[in-house]
Amino acid sequence: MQDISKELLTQASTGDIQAFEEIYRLASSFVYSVALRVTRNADEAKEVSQDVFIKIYNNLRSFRFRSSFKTWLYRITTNTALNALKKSSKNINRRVDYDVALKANDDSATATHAIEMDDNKKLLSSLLDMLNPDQRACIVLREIEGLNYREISKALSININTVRSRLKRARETLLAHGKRGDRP
Amino acid sequence: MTDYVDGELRPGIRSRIKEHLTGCSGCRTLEQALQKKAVEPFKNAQKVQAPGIVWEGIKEAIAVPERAPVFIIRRPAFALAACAALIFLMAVFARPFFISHGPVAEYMQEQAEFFAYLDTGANGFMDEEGIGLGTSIEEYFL
Repeated sequence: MQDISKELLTQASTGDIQAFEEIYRLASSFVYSVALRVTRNADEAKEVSQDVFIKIYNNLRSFRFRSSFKTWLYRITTNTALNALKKSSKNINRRVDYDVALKANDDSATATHAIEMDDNKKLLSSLLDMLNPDQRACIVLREIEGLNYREISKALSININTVRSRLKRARETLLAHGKRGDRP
Repeated sequence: MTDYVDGELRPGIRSRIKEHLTGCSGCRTLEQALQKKAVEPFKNAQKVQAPGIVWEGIKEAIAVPERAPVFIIRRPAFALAACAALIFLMAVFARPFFISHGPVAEYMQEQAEFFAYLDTGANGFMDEEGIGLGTSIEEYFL
């Protein structure tokens, strides 16, 4: 994510919409990307992104620069995404059932969908699906967004050793899946 | 291995592990598998851009004109105490008004007059010397 200057943040905190739009331009890719990878749903990712920026806009005035804006943004984004995922978790099974039912009834749609999907996207999607939400958040922040352990621990408000163990378990899961995939 | 892959180790330990990997085929295989199966797939993740509708929604939400300031009770306990005190004062100051007027006041006045009338012995029986014997009921028993 690109750096956001203190001047721009101060300007936006006074209610300057243009300054806030500039912050959005610099940070929206990160926020949407994390929201999408964690929730695994485009509609939820849009809602999460909107919530994150509205929270930032409403609380920017009280931001005292004691911590970095990036850390604050990481924390709001991951918390909002994880909360949205937990809230909708009751509906996930129903949604999967619905998807399965649709695919079973329409093979041509499945084929078209498969062709349209990029291989790497598919692989990434299947890998993320294997992880639980907490592990997924750690992997997304580490592997896709390039945060270090300290930044992840601050973003998720967890101990650095918890970050380490979540990443370890996540990779063990991915490795186990990879081994199964290698079998003839 | 996780710390090694993520570059989170101190340089000294990192170089020792690197050295170990050159001589240990088992660890080297694990490291390669980890890179291939759990690290590299994410390196090719495409950057995604938020759809335009996201900013539209945000703009709409933050552009809502601020409402006129609403009286907000910041300290409910104090507000409650103030209300109670106000009601008490009103009750104290309004009491004379309610006492001297209205049906209750009239009833109380009537009762006071009635007791005063009884007290004067106007309805009592008098003996020959003009000494009251009390009420008519007392007279009956006498």
